[in-house]
Order: sequence, then structure tokens, then C-alpha cells
Amino acid sequence: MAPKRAERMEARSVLTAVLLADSFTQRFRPITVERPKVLLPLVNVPMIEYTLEWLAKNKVEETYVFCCAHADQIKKYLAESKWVEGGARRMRVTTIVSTSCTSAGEALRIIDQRDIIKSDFILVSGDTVSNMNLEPALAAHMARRAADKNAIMTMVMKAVHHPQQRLRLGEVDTLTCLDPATARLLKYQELPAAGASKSSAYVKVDAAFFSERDNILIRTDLVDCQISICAPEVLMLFSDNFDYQNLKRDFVSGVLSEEELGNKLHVYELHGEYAAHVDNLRSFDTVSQDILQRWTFPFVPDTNVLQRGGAWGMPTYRYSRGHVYCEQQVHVPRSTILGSDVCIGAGTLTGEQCRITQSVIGRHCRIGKNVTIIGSYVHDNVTIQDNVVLEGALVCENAHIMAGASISPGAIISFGVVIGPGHRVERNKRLSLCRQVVGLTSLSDDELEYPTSTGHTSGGGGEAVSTSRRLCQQESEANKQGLGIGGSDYEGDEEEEEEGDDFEVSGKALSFEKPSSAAVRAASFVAMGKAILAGSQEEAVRFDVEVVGPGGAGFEWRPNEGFDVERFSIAAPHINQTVQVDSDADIAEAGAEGNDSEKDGESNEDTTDDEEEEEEDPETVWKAEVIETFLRCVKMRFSLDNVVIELNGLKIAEDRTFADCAKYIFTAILSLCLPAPPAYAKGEYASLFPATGPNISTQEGKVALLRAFKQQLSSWQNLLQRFLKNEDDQVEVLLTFEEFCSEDGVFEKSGEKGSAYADIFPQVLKQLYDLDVVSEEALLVWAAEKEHADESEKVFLAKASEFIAWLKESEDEDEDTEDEED
Amino acid sequence: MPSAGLGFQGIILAGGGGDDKQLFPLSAGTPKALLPVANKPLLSYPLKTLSDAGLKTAFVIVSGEKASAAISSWLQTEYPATTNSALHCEVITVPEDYGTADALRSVASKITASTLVVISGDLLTDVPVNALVASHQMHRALATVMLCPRKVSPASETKPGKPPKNVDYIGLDLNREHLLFYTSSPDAVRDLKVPLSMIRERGAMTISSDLVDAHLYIFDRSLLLTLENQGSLNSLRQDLMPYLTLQHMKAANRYAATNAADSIPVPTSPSMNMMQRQVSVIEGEGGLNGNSGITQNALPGSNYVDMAHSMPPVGGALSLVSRVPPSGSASSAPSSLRVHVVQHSNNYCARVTSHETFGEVNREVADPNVALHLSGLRPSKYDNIVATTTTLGNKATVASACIVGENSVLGDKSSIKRSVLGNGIRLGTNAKVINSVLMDNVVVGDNCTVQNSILATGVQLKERASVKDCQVGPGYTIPAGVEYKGEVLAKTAK
Repeated sequence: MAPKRAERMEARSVLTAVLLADSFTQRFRPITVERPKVLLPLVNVPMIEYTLEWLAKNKVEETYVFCCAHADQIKKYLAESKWVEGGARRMRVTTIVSTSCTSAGEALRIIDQRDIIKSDFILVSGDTVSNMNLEPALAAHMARRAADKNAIMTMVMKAVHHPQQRLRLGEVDTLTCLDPATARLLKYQELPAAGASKSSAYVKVDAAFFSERDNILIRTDLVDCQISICAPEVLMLFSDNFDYQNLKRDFVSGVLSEEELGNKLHVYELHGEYAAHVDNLRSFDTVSQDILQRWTFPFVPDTNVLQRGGAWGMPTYRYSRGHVYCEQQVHVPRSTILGSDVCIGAGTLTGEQCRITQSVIGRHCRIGKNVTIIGSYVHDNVTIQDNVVLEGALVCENAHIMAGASISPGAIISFGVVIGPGHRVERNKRLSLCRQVVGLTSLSDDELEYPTSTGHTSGGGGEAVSTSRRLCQQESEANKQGLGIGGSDYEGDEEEEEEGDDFEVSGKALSFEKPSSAAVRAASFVAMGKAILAGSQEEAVRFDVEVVGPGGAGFEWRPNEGFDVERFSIAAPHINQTVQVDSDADIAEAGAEGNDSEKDGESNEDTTDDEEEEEEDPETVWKAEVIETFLRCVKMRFSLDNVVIELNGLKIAEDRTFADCAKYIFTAILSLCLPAPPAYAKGEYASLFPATGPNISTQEGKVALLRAFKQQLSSWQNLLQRFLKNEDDQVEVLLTFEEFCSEDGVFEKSGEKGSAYADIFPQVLKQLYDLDVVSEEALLVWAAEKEHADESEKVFLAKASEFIAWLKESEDEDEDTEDEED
Repeated sequence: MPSAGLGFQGIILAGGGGDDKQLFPLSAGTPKALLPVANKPLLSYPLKTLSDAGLKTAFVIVSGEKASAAISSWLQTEYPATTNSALHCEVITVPEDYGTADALRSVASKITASTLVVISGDLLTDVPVNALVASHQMHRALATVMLCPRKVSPASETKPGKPPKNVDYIGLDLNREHLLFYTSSPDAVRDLKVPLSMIRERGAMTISSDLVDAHLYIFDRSLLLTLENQGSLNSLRQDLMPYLTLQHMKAANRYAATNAADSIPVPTSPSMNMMQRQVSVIEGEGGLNGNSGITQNALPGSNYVDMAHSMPPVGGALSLVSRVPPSGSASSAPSSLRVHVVQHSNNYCARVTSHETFGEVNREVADPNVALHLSGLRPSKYDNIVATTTTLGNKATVASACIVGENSVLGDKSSIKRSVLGNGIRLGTNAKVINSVLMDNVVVGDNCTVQNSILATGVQLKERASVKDCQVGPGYTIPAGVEYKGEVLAKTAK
């Protein structure tokens, strides 16, 4: 839908918000297959209402709702709600539809293309629940913008005061570095969960931050509220960097790493006010409880500010003691006990002797006798028969739970599913009437998740994604007329839906836009206890009986590989899950890491060992790059000057020192005399290495190795000299040589077999000295440094002791002569 | 021993002999500790700090025999061992190449008190050490470090995008009470490696580059044992403090690990208490309702709901100190590393580490508005101090915040501004001394100008000579009419 011209003119001065009605993840599957997440009821009100109402309350005049998946449903909903133009509210709500969009980045690019936004705007996702006053944040943002055009974005963050809080929200741990004086964001990094195997014990903080400020604040207790105030430049940046997908992972990191462009991000820290977003089932649970416990005031049920659109009418909640909210016409018999934090919608009937706590129940539900509901969310028109136990579960509209069934924590019962009598649904099972498309599990119709640092989904190849996109578009077109908002009229839609069953007929059963009508019919028959006619379409539907129980209807959805089911479970986490313990062994040496290699070489060995386990130890990467460049030069037989240019280019690109280059050039020279290490054994450089190395256990072998080295060194001595600018650099090379020989640090497990040189260590030193690669002073400095080292580190010093002693002697002589001259 | 009664002992690290590179050429022939600040040897200031704290004895550790002899003889005249009232000092000589931690190790056997105060011989401060000790002991801290804000921000001296040089990176908690991270390096460093668990523990940490270690440490006795076991720690600043921050973190982790291993919550932890209370309340409700059907304490989220929105009690669950049971043995679980950040508005704190700081400290101590009280001198009505034995020439002016020592002669029309002059100074006619330190027996000829310079003992300026931004070594003679600017002048050693 194209924006109207008139609106564009007005947009200049009005306060505008962009609401992304799609979170581009698939954590709510399979529910989101049938219903967009923003329309899911959160304490009986669709999520988007919370966001819209909050924006309206903050005097936002114009909101663009960006719809992607189920855009028609969202549009239809909004058209029936109070947000419709000329409706009860003054805020204008305009929808932008793009069904082909797979990420927030794309969404923002589309918005940029449409050229709607002219001034600074508020960017939120449609699942935001907040009662924050935007005014101070906006004022702070505008003041910064007035002073500095480059302060393009203000992110709202909130401190958690307890590590468990983050867990409650199912959030990733993040590390933020701020300038405490200006609240400018300096570093933003998602951390792997504490205790995860890959977690690094350290955070590297660029010391250059201190060139512009004296203090920086490092925080792990900030949670991003997904509320940002952006300048229009943000949209332009998204367009310029067409690979930006995720707002945080790509955009924020991108802006921070391109500091030279001058763009600045700032953080507004929220105190006391509430802001959270429902981006997974865990936070769905948490935010629901927070609403029941009135943290989100005025957005609580009994204020009746929020109302569902359509013909739903005004809510009529009333508060009773213990955070119990019931609408009028709720029938709760005396023998039924309502615990704390309960919300029940109108028209719901509960049987005798039920127990309900910390739960939300929608409108028009039928609840039988002796039912126990704890920490669960039951949507509208759900039937729960006698003696059912629901614990930490989510039950969607029109689901039917037969007598005696029990639902274990974390279970998701999607629209229309029937659970058979007496059946027990296992922990974290997800059930739906749609069939999960096996083999396409990582694909997404509506919501695509990008791999996080913890790697939830594999992300999927772009090609495959677009395939699924096309498929779902076809299907959605096919089904367009048959879609109702509530699931209550499935039966009525049956006739129209027939035509949408092509997929099932074609045998693929690719029903991921909505359940096949046969399945829906079959489920309703099962629920009503009607017999299914033999030979009918309905009979052909084979439900996963082992998960829904005999007499049930539904299919199991298995979580995608790597999806942390427990972390995003709707059931509350266990306390033992909340305790974070870092293993003691992780902690080695902290402190500064820099150009002073002495320290690196000596005391930080533990650290380098640690880092080696990480996949991308920068030092290893750097080493590989230098060696690769060098080998390429050797192979191409570049002239010395060109080799220098190549390596210099690399040095500048990576912002390294000369010594950094020299040390790995040197080790590359050393390895050129040995059989190729595994990394180069195959491929283009293999021919550069000798096929077999000398047998170093024999004297002859050692001599041969030394000779080979001598030859290599004599051809590259000039190169090394070009990179060894001073004594310190030379000392660094010596230290690296030591590491190389002992196969320590970056050389550990690299397969370079540096230990071959261990025996001829002093001879190599002599060669270096003779060819003026390393000066006498450097050797003596190195020796002096090593004097104070641990015994274990003196191995090579001991080997070279004779040579050093000889050097010292000659130096003394020199000095004597100098003194005499003086 | 009287000091044992106070529960702490004092150690002054008086540093090395005359070959101090930083203060060359001033220190030629005189140990740094005996260089004059407001005409009193530098060492007298830390000694006064200790004696003000109530100490009767102190160990003075000097490196090098020569310096040791000089300091001993000065101490004998100034703090004779016989009188009871003054501070009694014991000089301990260590080899010249000893680091600060090595020096401390060498006196370990003589430490009897549970707490020791280690103070650098070049520190001038009026922070009450006994108050620091009291706070240290009250919190059962392992070490307390005094930090002092820099007067000049390191960032202002650094090019954008380049890491600053020669700064201490000090990580503190938000209340600026605990030391969480410590790195000091004379060179510029590229990255700081901050232990993640340390930040996670606290939630937030500030790292500052504008704080310097004032070199006043209060240590628990158990640290001597650590020093004994860790032979590789040479320097307090560069080795011991980083080591301690790490060890501290490990201890915290171990503590957390044992806590986690216990299925029973530790009763002393406030948050755990809260949880227990919550659970018991729910149980109570269940009883009232007569409903035993639901196992109430298994309610989802009951175990963490309270932590969700409320701030933890001040110094509560997040503070390590309170985690350690107060009754528990302090030695087995060393509680914490604390810091004291000096506020320049309240207290004075400065170290003499370079020519600039030497000049600056001299001027500040001479200024009644800043730190004159440290020297124990009383200002005249002109806010300056001119010894009675000094002869002032006709129209000679001494501005406020200046000190002129005994037996000096100031020539006609000479003027002195913001400077400290020693004993036996001769200023010629129309000589000008601005922003400078003149040690004893300096002779400044007629029409000379001395600006922003330090002249060591016995320096002579002939007529019309002018020095600006210079450091002049002992006994140096500047010929007539010569102008020097920004130079280090010293007699060539023969």
C-alpha cells in the first residue's frame, strides 16, 4: 500500500513511530503459523494494543505499522479496532505491507524507499509492553541531535538488578560499554550464556576509548528494551549497508565499528518505569505475570484501557484481592479456588473444585470439574474437561483438552488441537493442527531467525528462504478469502477453503500457512466426539497420536536444531538454571594486552591457551594471514620490494606493528624448511614445502635442517630486516621463535612441528646474528629478560647460554675499549 | 611494642639512591627521599602521615647502601631513637634492584600486627591513615588502595583514536568502593582484557584512566603469605595488585560454586532469605484456603519473582562482602579489595615522581590555600613564609604562597612569585624568581630571571643569566648573560 501524498507533507512536524509488527524470529512457532505474534492475546488483549496504546499515550501522532507475515490479518484487525481512521483515538495508524520481507533490516530499507519518514522517529517492535514516558528520552535525543547531527540513535535500556531477571526474559546476555558522561554507546556485544562451553573469560576493551574520555562504564546488567529513537539517517544507513539484517547485531555493531563515519549511538537508561518486549515464550510468561502484578500500570486489566478490536466490546475487568481480575459474567463456583495473579475473561464457566493460580483464561472457555491450572495461558473458546491438569502451558483458541489429560510445563497447544482423554503431554511439546514441514524446518514463512551468538537456528540459505516465501505467498493468495481472525469459524469456512488444499492433494502436505481444512474438520469431529466417515478426507488425516493421545488431534512440532527449548520455555525456569557459575579454570590472567610482547610471551601463556579454544583467536587469524601472504609471495616469486608492499598492505589493513609481521614471516621461513603443516599440506602452497623433513634425531638431520634454514634465511634476510625496525621488534621475534620451538601459544596444535628447531636453537640464533637480522643488543636484552623468568621458561635460554656468554664477552671487550677512549 | 596496640604497622618505601632517573639531575648526590619539599626532606611527609595516625614506629625501606646511610643519618638527627615522643624509625636496606614487592617481602618477618600500612616515600597526603585502617579492618578487607584523581585528564593529552600512555586502568564498582580490575603499564596498551565474570558479578564496572594509585596500601597480614608464596611478584603496583584482583575473582567464583552446589540456600544471603520468606508466605496462604491439593511452593516462578523488579538491598546480594558470613573466619575467605578515592576538595594527595610534580608539589605545599598544613609551617599575614633571619633588600617583594628559608639575602627590587627558596639563598638586584624551586645556597646574580625551573643546591647564576623550564643539577654554574630554555643542566660526572 503506497503512502498518501498528503501524509508525507505533514510528517515533517508530527511525532512519528514505526512499529514493526513482525519480529522476524520463529520462536513462537507453531502458533505464528496461523496467527501473527502481535495479535496473540497477552492477558486477553492482543499484544499490538499495548504498543499502540503506549505510543498514543506518549503523544505520538502517526504510527506506521510495518506488516509482513499475515499482513492481511493485521490489516483486518486494525481496520476493526479503535485505531481505524476517524476512530476513537487521535493517533493515525497506517499500515505498510511487504510480504517479501525477512528481516528488520529489509523492513527499514523498504520504509526508506517509500520515503515516508522525514524526521526523527520512534522505532519499536509490535510486542513492546511499556509504560515509560518517552518525553525525557526524546528530549535527550533531540538535545544531542541539535548539538551533533551524528547522534543518530538513542536506545532505551533498562538495568536488571539481578541476573535472574534477564533469564526471566529469555534474553541474551549483552555487554555494553558506555561513556558515563554522555551515555554514548561504545561497545555492544552479545555474550554467550555464562557457563557455556565456548564462553570466553575475558572481554577486550579497546584502550583507545580512553583517548576521548577518562572513564568508561562496562555493564552486563543492561537489557535492551527494543525501543529506539532514530534519526532518518538510520534508515539511510540501512539502505547503504544492504547486508544489515538485525537491528542490534548488524546495525549497532556496524555503526560502532565504523567510528570514522562519526555516527554516534546513545543509551537512555530507564529507571523505575516498565519496558519489555515479548520476543519469546519465556518473556510471554514473564510479561503476562508482570501485567497481572501491575508493574505495567496503567496497562493492567482492571483499568480497561486496552480493548480488543472488532466486535469484542468493552472489557469489564474488576480487581479483587490478590491480583485477581474477572470480567463480568464469569462464573466461578464457590468450591473453585482462585489463587493470586489470575485473569478470567467474560463468559467463561468453571466447574466445581477447580484451582487456578498465576494464569490467564480467555473469554467463553468451558472448564470442567476439578481442573488445576497453574502458570498457564488459556485463550478464548477453549474447552477443558474434568480433572485436567495444566501447568506452565499455553493453550490457544478452540483447543480442546479431554477429561483427565495433563499438560506438562512448557507445552504449547496451538489452535484447535485436541488432546485425548487421560493423555499426558510431555514437557516442552509443541502441538499444532498444521503439519510441520520436515526438511524445511529452518525455513520460515513469516518469521526468519538469524543465528545469534549462541546459534539457535542455522539461518538457512537465502535461496531456500525465498522458495518458502514464494510458496507461502501462493498459498496465502489461494487462501485469501478464507481467513478469519478468530479461529471460531473454521467450520463455516470449510467450503471456501476446499480450494486451498492443493498442497495436500499434491501429496506434499505443505500446510504451513494454515492447517489443512481436512485436519481442522477432523479435529472438530474428534472434539465433538462425532464419528469420522470412513473413506472421507478427514479419515485420511493421520494425527500424531503418540503426542496428542488416542482420541486427540494434532501434529507435533519439533524445535529446530539448536533451539534452546528450556530457555525460551513458557514454563518458569528452575532456580538451578538461574545460578551462574563460571568455572574456575577459565580465569587465567587479565590485564593489558598490547604491544609489549614480553608480557605476552611470559605471563599470558595461559591466556593464549584459553583463546586457542575459541574459534577466532585474532592472533591465530593474523598469523595465518601473514603466513598466507608470505607464501603467496614466495610462490609468485615476487621481488623483495613487492613482497614488502604486500605485507605492508596487510599490516596497515589490520593495524598491526612491524614486529607482528616480522615474527610470523620468520616462523614461516622456519616452517618452509620442514614438511608442510596440515593447513598448507594440500592446496597451492604445498609445493613450497619439502616433501620430507630431515630426520632431526640424527646429527646429520640437524645439520641438514640448519643448512636448509640458512639458505632460506639468506634469501629473506633483507625482508626481515625491513620489518625489524628496532631492537624491541627483534626481541619479539626471538620470543616468537621460542614459542614456535616449544609449540606454545598460537603454535600449539598448529602442526608446524616447530620442536624440530629446539635442538638447533643456538645455531639458529647464531645465523640470525651473523646475517644481521637480530642485533647483539636484542639478543642480550632477550637473555636479560629471560633471566628473571620461571625455570620452565628458561629452557631455551639455557640452550643458548653459551652463545649469549660469548656475545657478552665480546661486548665487554667492546665496552672496555670504549671506556678507554672516553 | 606500642604500635602493636594499634593493630597496624607502618612501612615506608623510601626508594633508591641518587641515581633516580626521573629526578635527575636534582637527585645527584642526594637520595630522592631527602630532596626538599618546602625546605623539608620529602621523607618527612610520609613519616608525619604515619605519626599523625598514631604510630610510634615505622620501617623505612631504602634500596642501596649509600642512600640508606644518608637517610639513616638524617633520621637519627630528626627522629632520635632515645626520645619517646617522636616516631621511632628502623631503616632496612635492600639491594638496589629490588622491586616494591620484594622490599615488602624482606620485612615480612618483622611484621607482627594484623594490618600493615605501606606508603611510598614520595607521597604527600593529609588523608587520615588511621581512619583508612579502621575502615579496612571494619570491612575485613584484604587490601585497601588509595587512589588519587589526576589533575590533568589523560584523555586531554591523547590524540583521539590512540590509547593513552602511562595510565593506570582501574576498574571500580559503581559505589567506588571496591577494586575490581587493575592494570598499569608504562606503555600504551591496545586492549584491556577484563574478566567477564567480574563484570557479571557486579553487573557494572567503571574503568577509569584518570585515577592513579597513590601508593598508599593497607594490607591484611595474610598478604605477606601470598607474597611469600608468589615469588615472581616483584612490584606492588605492576604485579601484586593485578594478581590480587584476579585471585579475588577466583575466590568469589569458588564461593559462588560452593553456594550453587548447596541445594540449601545459604541463610545469610538476603536474596535467599527473601525467597524463603516468599515460599513460606505462599504456604501460609495455602493453609488458610484449606487447600492442600496444590503444592504451593512449587508455583512457577515463585523462586525468582521477588528478584525481578526490586533493587537488591544496598550492599546486598551483589556485594561480596555481605556474602561472606560475618562470623566466618576472615582468613579463609578473604573478603575484598577496597579502594579509597581521594577527593581533591577534601584532602590533599600528591606524589613526587618527576620534575614537574616536584615543582608542583613544592608550590602547592607552600600555598596556604592548598597544602601548607602538611609542612607544619605557619603563614605570615601576607600568606607567605619568610624566615626571620632573611634579609630583604629595598623594594624586594615576596608574593603570597612563597617560602624563603633561613639566612637568605634578597637583593634590591628582587621579586619572588609562587616559588620555594631554601636556606642561604642570595638573590641579586632586580632578580626575578617565578614558579621555581631553589634549593639551599643557590646564588642568583643581578638581573637574572628564573622561571619555571628547579635549581639544586649550590647552583650559581651569573649576571643577566636567564633560565626557563630548566632543571639544574647541584653546583652547576650558569655563565653571565646566557639564556637557557627547557634544558637539563648538570655537571658532567668525572
